[in-house]
Amino acid sequence: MSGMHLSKEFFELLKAIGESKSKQEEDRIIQREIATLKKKMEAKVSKIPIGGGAPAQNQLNANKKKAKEFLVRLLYVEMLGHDGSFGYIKAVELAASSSIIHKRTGYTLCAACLAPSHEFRFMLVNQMQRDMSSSSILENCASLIAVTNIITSDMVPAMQALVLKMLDHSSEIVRKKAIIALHRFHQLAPESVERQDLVDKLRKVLCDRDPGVMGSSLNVIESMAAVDPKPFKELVSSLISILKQVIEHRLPSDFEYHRVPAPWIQMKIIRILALLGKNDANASNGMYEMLGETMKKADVGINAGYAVVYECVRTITSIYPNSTLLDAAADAISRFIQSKSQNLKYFGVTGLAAIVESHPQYAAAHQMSVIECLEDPDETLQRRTLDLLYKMTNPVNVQFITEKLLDFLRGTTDAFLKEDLTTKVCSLAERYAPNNLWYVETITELFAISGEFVKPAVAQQLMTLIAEGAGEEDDEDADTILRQHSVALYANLLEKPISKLPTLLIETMAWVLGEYAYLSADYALEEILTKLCEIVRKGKQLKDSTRKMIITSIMKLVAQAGTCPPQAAKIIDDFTKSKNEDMQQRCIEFQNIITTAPQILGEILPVDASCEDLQVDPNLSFLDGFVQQAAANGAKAYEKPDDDDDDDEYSPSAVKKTSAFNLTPYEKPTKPGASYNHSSMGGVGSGTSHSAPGTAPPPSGSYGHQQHGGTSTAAPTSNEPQLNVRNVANVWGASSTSAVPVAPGPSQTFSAPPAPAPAAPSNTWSTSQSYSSQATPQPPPEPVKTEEQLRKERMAAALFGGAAPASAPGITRRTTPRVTAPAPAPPAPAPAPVPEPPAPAPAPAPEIDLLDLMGDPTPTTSAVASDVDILAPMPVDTIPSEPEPVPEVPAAPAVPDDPFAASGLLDGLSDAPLSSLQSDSTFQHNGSSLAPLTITTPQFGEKWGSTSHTSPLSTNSAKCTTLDAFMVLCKSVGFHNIESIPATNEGICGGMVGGSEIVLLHGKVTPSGGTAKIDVTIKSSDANIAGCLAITSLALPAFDIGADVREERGEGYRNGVVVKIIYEDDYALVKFEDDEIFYKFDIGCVLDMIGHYNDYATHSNRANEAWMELLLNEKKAQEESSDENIEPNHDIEQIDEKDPFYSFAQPPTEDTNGSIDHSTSGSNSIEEIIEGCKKKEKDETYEEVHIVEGMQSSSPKDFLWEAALENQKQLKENLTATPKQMFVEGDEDGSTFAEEEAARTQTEEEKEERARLAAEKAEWLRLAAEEEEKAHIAAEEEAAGLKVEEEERARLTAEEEAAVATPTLSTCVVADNEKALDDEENKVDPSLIYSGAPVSTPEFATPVIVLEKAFDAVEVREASLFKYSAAPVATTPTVKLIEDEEESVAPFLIAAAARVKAEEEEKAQEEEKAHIAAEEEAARIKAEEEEKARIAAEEEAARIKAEEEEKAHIAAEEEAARIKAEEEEKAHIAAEEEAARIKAEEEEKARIAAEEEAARIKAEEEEKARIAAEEEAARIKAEEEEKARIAAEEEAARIKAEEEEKAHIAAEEEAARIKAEEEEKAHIAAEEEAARIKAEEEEKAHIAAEEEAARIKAEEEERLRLAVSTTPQKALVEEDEDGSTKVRVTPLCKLMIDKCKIED
Amino acid sequence: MISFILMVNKQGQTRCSKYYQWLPMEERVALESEIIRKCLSRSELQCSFIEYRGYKTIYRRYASLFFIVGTKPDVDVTQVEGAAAENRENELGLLEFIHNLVETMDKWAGSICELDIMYQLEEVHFILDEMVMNGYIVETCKGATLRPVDLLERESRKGEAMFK
Repeated sequence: MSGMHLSKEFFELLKAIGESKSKQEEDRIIQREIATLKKKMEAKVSKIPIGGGAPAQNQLNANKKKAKEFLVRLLYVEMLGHDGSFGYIKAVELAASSSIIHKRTGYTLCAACLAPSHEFRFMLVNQMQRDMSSSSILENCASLIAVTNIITSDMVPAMQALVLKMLDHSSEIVRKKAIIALHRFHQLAPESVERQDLVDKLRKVLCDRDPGVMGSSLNVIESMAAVDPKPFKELVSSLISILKQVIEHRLPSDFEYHRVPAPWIQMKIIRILALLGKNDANASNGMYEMLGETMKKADVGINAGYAVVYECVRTITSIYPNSTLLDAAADAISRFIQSKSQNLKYFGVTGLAAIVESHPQYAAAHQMSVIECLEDPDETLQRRTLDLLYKMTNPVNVQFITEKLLDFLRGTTDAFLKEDLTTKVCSLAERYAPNNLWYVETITELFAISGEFVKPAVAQQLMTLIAEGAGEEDDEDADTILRQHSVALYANLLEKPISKLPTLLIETMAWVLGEYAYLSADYALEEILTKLCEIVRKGKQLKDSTRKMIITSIMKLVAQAGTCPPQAAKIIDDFTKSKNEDMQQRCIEFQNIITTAPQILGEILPVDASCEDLQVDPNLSFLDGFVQQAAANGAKAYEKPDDDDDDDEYSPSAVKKTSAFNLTPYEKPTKPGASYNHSSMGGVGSGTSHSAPGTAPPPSGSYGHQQHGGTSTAAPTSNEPQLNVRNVANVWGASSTSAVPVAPGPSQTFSAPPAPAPAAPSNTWSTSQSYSSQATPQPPPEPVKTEEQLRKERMAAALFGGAAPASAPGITRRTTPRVTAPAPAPPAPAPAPVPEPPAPAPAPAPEIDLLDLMGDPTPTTSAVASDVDILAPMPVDTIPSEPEPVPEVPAAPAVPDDPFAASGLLDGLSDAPLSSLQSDSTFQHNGSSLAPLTITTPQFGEKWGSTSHTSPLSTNSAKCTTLDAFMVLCKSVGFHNIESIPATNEGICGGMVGGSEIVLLHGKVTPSGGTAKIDVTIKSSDANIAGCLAITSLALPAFDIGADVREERGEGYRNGVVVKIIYEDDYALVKFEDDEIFYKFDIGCVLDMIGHYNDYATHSNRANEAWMELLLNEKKAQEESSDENIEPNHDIEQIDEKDPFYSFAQPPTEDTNGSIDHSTSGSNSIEEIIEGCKKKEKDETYEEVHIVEGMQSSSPKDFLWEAALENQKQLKENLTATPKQMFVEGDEDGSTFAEEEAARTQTEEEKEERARLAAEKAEWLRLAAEEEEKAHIAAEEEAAGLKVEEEERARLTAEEEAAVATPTLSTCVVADNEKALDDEENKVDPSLIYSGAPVSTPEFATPVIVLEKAFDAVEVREASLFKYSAAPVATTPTVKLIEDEEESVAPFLIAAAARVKAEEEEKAQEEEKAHIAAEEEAARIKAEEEEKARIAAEEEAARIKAEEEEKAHIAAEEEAARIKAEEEEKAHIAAEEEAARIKAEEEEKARIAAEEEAARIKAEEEEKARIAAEEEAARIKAEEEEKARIAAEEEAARIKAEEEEKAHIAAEEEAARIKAEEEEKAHIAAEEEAARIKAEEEEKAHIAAEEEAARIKAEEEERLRLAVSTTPQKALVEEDEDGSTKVRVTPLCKLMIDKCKIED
Repeated sequence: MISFILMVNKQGQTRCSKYYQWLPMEERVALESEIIRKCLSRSELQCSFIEYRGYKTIYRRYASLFFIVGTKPDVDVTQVEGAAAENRENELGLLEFIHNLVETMDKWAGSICELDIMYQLEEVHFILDEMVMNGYIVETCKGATLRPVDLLERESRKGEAMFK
C-alpha cells in the first residue's frame, strides 16, 4: 500500500513538506496550498452534484475522490497550524457521502478541526443519526466514532436512544464503540444519561462474549469507579474471574502482546480493583490471591510485564493492606529502583512514593538509591523523587527536603511545576517547621523565588507569626529574637533592586520593617525610613495596595523615630494628591496630625501593638464630659432622627453632639481615654485593612503585657473588656482574661538572652537553641562535594533520619506557626544531646499545644505565675491512671523558685526512669505513646467498623468550644487529624499505640453559648486503651477545669467561698477557702462533677448552686466521716515538716488550676449518696458505661455515684493492662474501708511500716478480710468464666498473674454486684470503720498531700466510692512503681499494708484457687472454641475443596474439548493458517489444496454422508435452478448486477474468492450475505456440482473446526441472576465435542 | 486518559496528530513544538516520560519518528470535588501501547515508515479511531483493529472498481 491513489498535486505537496528544511519554508508551502485548495474547492463545490443521477456517476465518483483528497490536504493544513476553515463545509458535505471512506474522512476532519462551539457540529447531528440507523456496520462505526468526538452536551438527547440500541448490536465492533460513546454522553450530560442506567449497562457489557467489548467497558468502569466505587463493588468477583482467565491465557492468542496475555486489560482490571478495594477490607480480601498471582505471572522480564507488575504494586498500596503482598510489592519496587533502565527506575521512585505514603518503613531500604535519583540528570526522575520526598517528609528531615524543593523551584520555569512545588513547600513548612525562625526564612525565600504563586494567606500567617511570636506568655525574649532576625532578613532586601521582588515579599517586608525596624542591629531607623521612601519614589510599577503598605510603614517609622525626615514628608505630601482615596485620606490625616499634634503620633501609631485588640467604645463615653459641658452651655440635646434605624444600640437618651457623627476623623479627645486612642489608631494604622493583613486586629489579648515593651506610651487598655476577634486563635493563646496585664512588661529588654531552661540544656527543641543558632538543631546537608559517597550518605542521613521510626512522620508539630516555639518553662528532659533525636523531636510541641489549650495561666492573684508557669504542665502530665512514672518528670519544672524543686521533690524524682523522651502530652499506654495514624477518611470509616472496643465520652467544655480547638486537642494528644467537617462540627482522628493497637476517635462539638457539648467516641482494638485515653487525655483538657474555675472566680469571692483544685494523677485535691483544708477527691469524680456542672449550667441559672452542692456534699461527707475517725494528734504541723508537698497548700506558689466559689446549698449525707449509689449501681452495665450521658438527668448524688463507677471502671481497665493497681475495699454501707495500692505496698521498708500499721488494725481487718474473701471466691469463679481472655494473658507470666486475676475479680464483683452486695451487706459490721492512719510518717515519702486531719475522712469517703470494686489482692511489687511517688497515696498504702499483712497467706491461697479455677475454665472454653474453630475450618476446607473440584471438573471438560480441537487442529495446520488470512487470493488456492487434503484424510463415511447430503441438496436445488435458468440472464442483470459481472469476469477461482469474502462477512451482515451466497451457490452448483459439493463440505468442516478451536478458549463469564459467575461451554463447543465422539 | 497522540519527526514536523481533548490550533502548535523540543533534548539514557504543562507525556522513537502520547487525569476524576485529580495512567503501559500501535501499523502497511503515514494520513486516523476512543484504549488486538480498516478499504476499492 502506498500513495498510489494520490493525485500528482498531493504527491508534490507531501514531497515538498517532507523536504522542507525549516518551519518558514513549510509555512510558505502550506500558504500556497491553501490558495490552491480554496480555488479548487470553490470550483468543485459548484460542480459536484450531490446525489446526482446515474449518467454523471463516473464524474461524480471522480469528483468525490478529489473531494476526499482535498479534505486530506486540508487536514495537513490544519495539522501544520494553518487556518483551513474555508473547507470545513466540504467536510460536512462529505460526511453525508454514500461512500463510507469519504464519510469517515469527512467525520475525521470535522472531529479534528471543529471547535466545540462550532455551529457545523450541529449540522452533523442529522447525518450521524442516519448513519447510526444504517444497516451497515461500517456506517454505524463511523457514526459512533464521530459521536464520541463531535457531540456536545446539547446534542446528547438526539443521539442517546440510538446509541443505546447499538449496545445490543450483533457486531462486537459496534458494541465496544457504543459503550464508550455512552460514557461520553454521561461525561457531557450526566443528567440525560443516568449514572445508574449506565452502571447497569456496563455490568451487562462487562459480560460480553467478545473480549474486546469487555476490554473497552473496563475503561468506563474505571473512570466511573474513580468517582464512586460503590455501585461496582459487587463486580469484584467477576473482575477477578476475568483476570484469572486472562492470565491463564484463555483469551484468543491474538490478544497476547509479546506473550503477555492482554496486558492492557490486565492493567485496567487491576486498576479498577485498586479503586474498589480501597478502604474495603472485604473487597480487598478477595483480591489478594489474584493480585499475587498476577504479579508473579507478569514478571517475565519485559516492559509489558513490568507495567502490569507496577500496576499491581499501586493497587496493593491502595487497597486494604496485606503484609505478604506489601512485601512482594516492596520487593518489586526495590528491583525497579535498582534497575539500570531509567524507565524502571522511574517506576521504582513512583512506586516507592505510593508505598511510603501509608507504609513509611519501606523507604529506609532505598536511601542511597533515592539520593542518586535526586541527583540524576534526568529531570523527570528528579521530579518524581521530589514527589517521593514530599510524601516522606517528617519533622526530622523537613529542613533538608524543603531545601531540595526550593532548589528545584529556583531552577524551573514550568509554571505548573512551580505552582505545585510552591504549594508543597508551604504545606511542609506549615506542618513540620522546627522553629519559627526557620519558618520565617523559608517562607521569605519562597516569596523571593516564586512569590507569584504563594497564596496571600501565607504572608498573612507569616506576619501574624512575627507579631505574635510563639504565643507564649513568658516567651517574649524568643519573640524578640525572632523579630530581630526577621527585621535583619527584610532589611537586607532593601539593598536589592525593588523591581525584582514579588509584590507579596515587598508587602511583607514593608509591614515587618514598619512594625519592628527599631530592632534592627544593622540599620538605624532613619536609614530604613529613607530606603522605604526611595522604594516608593522609584517603584512606579508598584501596585496601589503595595504602595499603601509601604506608606503606612513609613508613617509608623516616623512615629517611632519621632522626627519626620524631609523625604518622608515629601512622599506623604505627594500622596495627599493620590487618586486612591484611601491613600489620600490617610496621608492627609497624617499630615494634619504631624503638623497639629505631633505628640499624639506615638499613640496613634504605637510600637509593637499589632497584636492589640482594638477597643471600640460604641457609646463614645469619652465624650460624655464634653457633651455635658456643651449641654451645660446650652447646647441642644441630640434628637434621634426618625428614619435612623441603624443606631439602635445607642440609647435615645444619650446626648451627643451631632457633629460626632461626621465622617471627619475624631478630634483630639478631651480626656485621653485608652479606648479612644486605640480606636483612632485603628483608624489610621489599620486603614490598609484589605491589603495589609498585618494590621488587622490580631487574635488574642494574650499579649497584654507586650504592649508595654519598648517605647510604648500607649495607655493600658487592659481594664476594658477586650474585644475578642478571633475565636480560634484564642484557643492557642492564653485566653483573654489571662491577659490582664498584672505582669510588669516594661522590664523586658529586647537584647536579653532567652532564659535558658536549666533542666534541658541539650534539648534541641528548646527555644534557646533554636533561636540562638540556626545550625544547631540539624546538621545541614553538606554542600561540599569533596567526597561524593560521603556526601550522599550524609544526605541520606538527613533525609531518612526521621523515616526510620515508623511512628514519627505523621506527627505534626504545628497547625499554626505560633505553636512552634516551646516554652522554656516545661522543658522536656532530653538527656542525650543527639542532633536528630527522632523520638523527642516531635514531643514537646504537642505538649505545648495541650498546654496552651489548657490555657490556664495562674489566676491574677498569684504574681509569680506569669513568669513561672508551674501550673501549666500539671494537668497535662498528671494523667490519671497513667501507669508509667514517666509523665511526672516534666511535672517538676526546673525553675528555681518552683515549690516542687524547693521541697526536694526533684531529688526524689531524679532517678526515676527518664524514659520521658516521649511527649508528655501525648497519650501513653504501657509506655508506648500514641502515634498519629495517617489514614484517609474512607480508611477510617472502614477501620471504624472493624475496631472492636468503644469508649464513648460526653462532656461540656467552656474551652474546647470549637471544632478546631477540639482537633488541636486531639492532635496534641498524639492523634492524626484525619478530617474535620466544619459543617457538622465533627472531626475524626486516628492514632496508633505500640505499633499495633489502632485508636480511632470521632468527636462532635456542639457549641451552645459560651460552652460546647463534646461527644467523643473512641474506638480501639484494645479496650483499655480506649478507656484510658478517654479519661486521661481527652476528658481532662476538654473539661478544661481551669477555664471554668476562672470564670467563676469573681463571683466566688463575693460569696466568700473559694475552691481550689489541684490535679494529681488519679485524684484531685480540693480546697475550700473557709477551712484551709485540701480534700482529696477522685479525679474522675471531680471531672464528672465539673462535667455535670457544665451541663447543668447550660440548662439552669443555678449553676453555682449546683456545683457547690456537689462539692459541699462531698466535703460534708468527708467531714462527717473524719469526725469519727481522725486521730486527734495528727495535726497539720506534723505534716508540714515531713511532707514536701505541703507547699502545695501555700497559697501564693501553689499551682491551682483556679478557684471556684459557690454558694452553699443542699446537704446530702454520705449515707444518702451511697443509697443513691446502690440504686444506680444496679442499672449499670460495665460494658457500656457512658460517662455523662446517664448523668445529665440524675441528681447530684446519683451522679457522684456514677463518677465513682466510672472511676472504678477506669481502674479496672488499668488493672487489666498493668500489674500495679489501686484497690479499694470496703463494706457496702460505707463504714469500713481498706484500700490498697498494690503496686507500691511491698518494698522492704514499707513492709515494716505495714506491719506496724497492721498490728493496729489487725482486728477489724481480719473481720473484713473474711467477708471479702468470700466475695472473692465467688468473684473469682465468676471471673474465670467471664474473662477468659484476660486470664490467658495473665497466664503469660507468673508474676503478672495475681495482678491480672484481680481486676477480673473486681470486674466480676461489680458485674455480679448484687450477689456481692448481699454478701457484704449481710456480713460486714458497720461499726468497723477504718480510721485513717497517720499519713505523713517519714516512711511514706509519698507525694500525697495530707494537710489536715480530715484527710483520712476524705480517704474514707473516697474509698466508699470504690466499695464495689473492692477486690484486694496483693500484687507483685515493682521498684518502678514505688518510685512512682506521685501516684502513691499514703492512706491507701496504710490500708493496703494492713490488709496485706492480715491476709497474706489466706489471700494467696484463695488466689491460687481462683486462678486454677479460672485457668481450668479458660482451658475448657478455649478447647471448645478450638474445637469449633477446627470444625469450622474443616467445613470450610471441605467446601473449598468441593468448589475446587467443581472448577477442576469444568476445566477438565473444557480441556477435553480443547484437546480434541487441538488434535484436529494438528491435522489441519495448513488449513487453519489459510483460514486466518481471509482475504488474499492466493490463500484461496492454498486453502483449497488444504481442504482437499483434509477431505482425503477425513473419514470415509463422513464423506459419503456428506456427498449424499449434497446430492440431496443438489436435487432440491436443481428444481429451483430449472426456473432460475429460464430467466437467468435477465434476473442476474436486474437483481444482482455486481455479482453477475464478477461471476462472469472472474473464473472459478474468482467466484470462490468472492464467496469466501462473503462468507467472512456473513456474520457481520447476515441477511444480505445469505441471499448472495445462496445465489452464488446455486450458480456454482449448476456449473460444477460435484466439485462444489466437495468444497462446501470442506469449508463447513473448516468453519466448524475454526469455531471449535477458538470457542473453547473464549470461555466467558456469564453473570447469573444471583450475581455469581460461571464459565459457560458454548453450544459450538458442545457440537464439536459430540462430533468428535461420533468420529471416534 | 489520553489527551493526544502525536507523530512528529525529529525535524519537529508533525506527521499526525490526534487530540482527545479540544485544544485551539495555536495551542496545539505550541504544545507540539515544545514537546518535540523536549523529546529531542533527551538522551537514550533518560527515561521515556516527560512531565510538561500538567501533561504526563510518554514518548518513543522509531528511526526519525517520535510517537508521543500525552495524558491527563481522567475527566471523571477531575469532576470529583475536593479530591486532587490524580493521573493514574501507567506510563510503561502507554509506552508499550505505542509499540503496539507501531506493530499494528506495521502489519497494516508492511513495514511502516514516515512516508506511509504521510501518504495515508486519513487511514492512520482510522486505525487510531479503532484503538483509542475518547481517550481510552479500546482495542489492542491487532487483528481486531485492522479488520474494520480493511473492510473500509475494500469497500471503497469496490466502489472505485465498479465505476471505472
